[in-house]
Amino acid sequence: MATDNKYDRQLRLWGANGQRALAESHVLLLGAGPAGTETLKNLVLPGVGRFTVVDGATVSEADLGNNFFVRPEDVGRPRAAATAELLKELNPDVEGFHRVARPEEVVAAEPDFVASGFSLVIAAQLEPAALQALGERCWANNVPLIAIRAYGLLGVVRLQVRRLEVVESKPDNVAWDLRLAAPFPELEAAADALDLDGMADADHAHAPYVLVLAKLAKAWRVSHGGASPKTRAEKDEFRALVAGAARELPSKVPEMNFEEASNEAYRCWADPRELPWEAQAWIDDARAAPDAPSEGRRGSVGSEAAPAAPPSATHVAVASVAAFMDAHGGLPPLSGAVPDMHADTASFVALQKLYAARADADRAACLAIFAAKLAEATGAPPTADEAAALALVCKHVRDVKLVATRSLADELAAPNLGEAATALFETDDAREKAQAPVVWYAALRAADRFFVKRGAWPGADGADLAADAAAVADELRAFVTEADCADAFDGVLSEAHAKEIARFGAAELHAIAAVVGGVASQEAVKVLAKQYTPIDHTYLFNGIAATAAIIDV
Amino acid sequence: MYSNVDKLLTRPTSFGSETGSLAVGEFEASPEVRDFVTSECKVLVVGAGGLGCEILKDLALSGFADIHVIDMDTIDVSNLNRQFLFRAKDVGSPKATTAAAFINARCPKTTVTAHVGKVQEKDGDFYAQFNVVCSGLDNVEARRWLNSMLVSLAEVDDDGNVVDPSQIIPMVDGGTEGFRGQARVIIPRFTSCFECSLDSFPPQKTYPMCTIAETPRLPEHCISYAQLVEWPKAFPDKSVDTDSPEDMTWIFQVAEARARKFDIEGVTYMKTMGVVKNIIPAVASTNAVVSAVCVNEVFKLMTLCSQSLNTYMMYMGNHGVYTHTFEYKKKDDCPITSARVRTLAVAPTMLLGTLIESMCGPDSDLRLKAPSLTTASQSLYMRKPKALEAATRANLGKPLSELVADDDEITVTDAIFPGDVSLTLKLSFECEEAA
Repeated sequence: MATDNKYDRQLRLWGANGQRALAESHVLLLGAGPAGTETLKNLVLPGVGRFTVVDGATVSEADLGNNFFVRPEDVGRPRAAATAELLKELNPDVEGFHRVARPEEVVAAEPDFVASGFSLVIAAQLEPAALQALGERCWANNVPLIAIRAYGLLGVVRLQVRRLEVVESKPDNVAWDLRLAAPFPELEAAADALDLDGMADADHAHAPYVLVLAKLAKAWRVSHGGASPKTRAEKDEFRALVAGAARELPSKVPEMNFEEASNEAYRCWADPRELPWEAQAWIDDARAAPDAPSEGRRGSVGSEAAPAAPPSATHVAVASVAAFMDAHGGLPPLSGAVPDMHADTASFVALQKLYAARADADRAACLAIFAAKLAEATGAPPTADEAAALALVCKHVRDVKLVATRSLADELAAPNLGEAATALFETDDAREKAQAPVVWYAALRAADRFFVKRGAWPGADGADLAADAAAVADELRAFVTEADCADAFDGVLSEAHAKEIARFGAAELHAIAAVVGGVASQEAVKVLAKQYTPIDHTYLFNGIAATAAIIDV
Repeated sequence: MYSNVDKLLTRPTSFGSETGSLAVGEFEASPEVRDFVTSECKVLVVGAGGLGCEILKDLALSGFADIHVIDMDTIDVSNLNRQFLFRAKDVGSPKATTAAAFINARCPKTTVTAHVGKVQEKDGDFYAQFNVVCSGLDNVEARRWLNSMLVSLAEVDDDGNVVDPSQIIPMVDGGTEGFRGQARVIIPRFTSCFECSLDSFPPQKTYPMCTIAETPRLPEHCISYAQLVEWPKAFPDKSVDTDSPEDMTWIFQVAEARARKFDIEGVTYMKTMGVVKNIIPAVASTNAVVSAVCVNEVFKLMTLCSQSLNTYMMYMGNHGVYTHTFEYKKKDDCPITSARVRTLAVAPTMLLGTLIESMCGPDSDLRLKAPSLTTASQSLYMRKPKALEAATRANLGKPLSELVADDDEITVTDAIFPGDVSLTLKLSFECEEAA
């Protein structure tokens, strides 16, 4: 045991910032069946601050067969109490509460219960009408919602979020901002001071490629009327020039720094003003509306406007960055991070300091703008937390994004099924088409229609399986027709799908619930920590063929 | 109690195992199928860590009643963020027994039998008693050994056909790393095996020694220097105990001093542990997903109640969720599953010792550990017993042309595989220039 921190293995992913956000969260779980308790288990273990379980059932024999958070001695007790107790026992850092009430009744009787201080709502196996109502309340109050479902061999995780500000999106490939196409004066001075011809061999082979490129790019610009390489031929010429600047050493070992320089030459014409579109979109949004953050990417048909809330410190920080960019010819604040490269220690450390100093200066300029904006709104200087929010935005300016999904209301009223069904055309294999997750999405919608009409799930205990399957088949045909994409599903959907839905009889298999609980908790962590990129918007796991897909209907 | 499972097993379907692209049998809906799960089927879980804890729970709550688990590790405090069968009071106890005791207490219809030890310590008879194996291991070596053990249990005749189908023990294997993971189904002799996909498990990343020693730039370089250069100098007779806070603190402090000397920022105790122990981030959610996908496959393979994963599912959860299911093809010269003999082009002047070295290490094709080589007529080099090692040691310095003829087949055994598993390689002589 070389550490006493039980969170060590996850801190390496989401860091202290993420952990703090998680610890400050309060998660509401509606429905304590296996999908719900498995999701909560994966949030209690990593240290979510508080949870509340709402469930109206009493523990039965069937629960013992698919829910890990009940024991034989709990049979007959309220399921909310038993599961909350055993979930809390997983981690002494976590506070747990429960309430014995049917989630459907709470949603109907106290529509704004979900807005009473919860960071996130997880709705497990909610009946269709209640889920729709809950979706609307969460949307109106800008409370993130994850709706989950384990249905036979099918699992669904649906995220609804109206506006989520993500700064640390942690892209897989870091987009280093090295400013080679628009060097700042200190970088240019360092490049000027590099005497490539007069250096000893050992120094030449250890000059950081960034300085080599800065120097050669400047020479190019001087001889090309101030322009960087533009055409393909010019770019090739520049690359050859870089490669040609390498020395042939007596050892015959090629100079790795010049190989790096040649590979990274494109950085000399990559415009640092060009940001990823998500970052640019938020910056534009913040410039246009610094005080009133806009809603998500898509509005909702006939839903209420979000309550007017003051902009977050992060939004003001992004607006401050926008103002900084306007004052600096479109250049964002420098992040200051430098990738590792072949270099001697002293040159590399000096280069790191050069970039860090410039980043500090840019951040200070942004902070001045930020402080002025806050002073205007609140009359107070930035708090330590607010200043930290600004620093984080400056450091990750290329990674920021606003996350918003379609609303559940829109999905239910007008599913974009045609778009999602294009997946069907990616394969000619009939067997694969039949198992495409989007087909099972349609089948589950048919099951919902059946439930809404009859108040029971197809294939429930004692049901006439053949009759229920026929009714589901009718609903399935009606659903794809109403969604205006019967053609796309023609020849793919068969009676077999309806029969399978009836066979499932809304059974909650533990393994499927655990898949759902895993994905849902992962998305919950992303939403609570405001890191990485959450799903948009439905993940459907098909446990028949073990295929899965994101469906954005 | 298993009323949810019963619906799947007692009702007919159009999507039984026989309808899938990896068909393993024909489904017949009946209560007998359920009874097979709850009273006959014997499952081995390999690993009682992040995946193993989940797998045990998922199996128990799918109705499986006779489960064995094997693991050599003891519980560490850093396991507690995901290995939910363990509590702070269990730190230091064996994982296998602690996990088994928890499941046995929580799920009274299930009996988990614990085995504390390495997978390599069990023999063929042990593995042959199971209907299916579900593995959640954190290392490639144990997976390779287990995979070749299970493949070897399915005996084949001279034409490569399985003699007795009841000897086929499916292996469902999971693995995770941070928000990524994979689940796969291996039907010995029928699908690709773990060895077929060895290339997709790259060896651990290391830093070049010259960078560490001469031009350190990153905190990682300073930490590696403290571990690989300073420690052996200070403690020539003792290797680093990565579980000892004293040892790790020593490395941290030495690395910190070196970093200060070179003006390098970022050496922390946490980073020191990460580098020295090659720590891979791990979270509850990914383990839950991958384990549950594996157990769903075990359930379907044992009951035939639905189609099977054919054969590999990749899961990436950082940005949205990307899942990709595809058939991992057999490698046609896989040393474990392929009947085709792999040909190795060698120079006749190559020394036997050089040939052996070329089979070992992270960059070699076969990634062996300590191979022994024989031909049909003689031992070329044997590690054991001692007398034979001494008798064959002189061969290491001899050119191959003195030991074998062109196109001779040699048999290779290695600790990475079970004792009775051997590889056959054909040595084809090439002229110096071509080699």
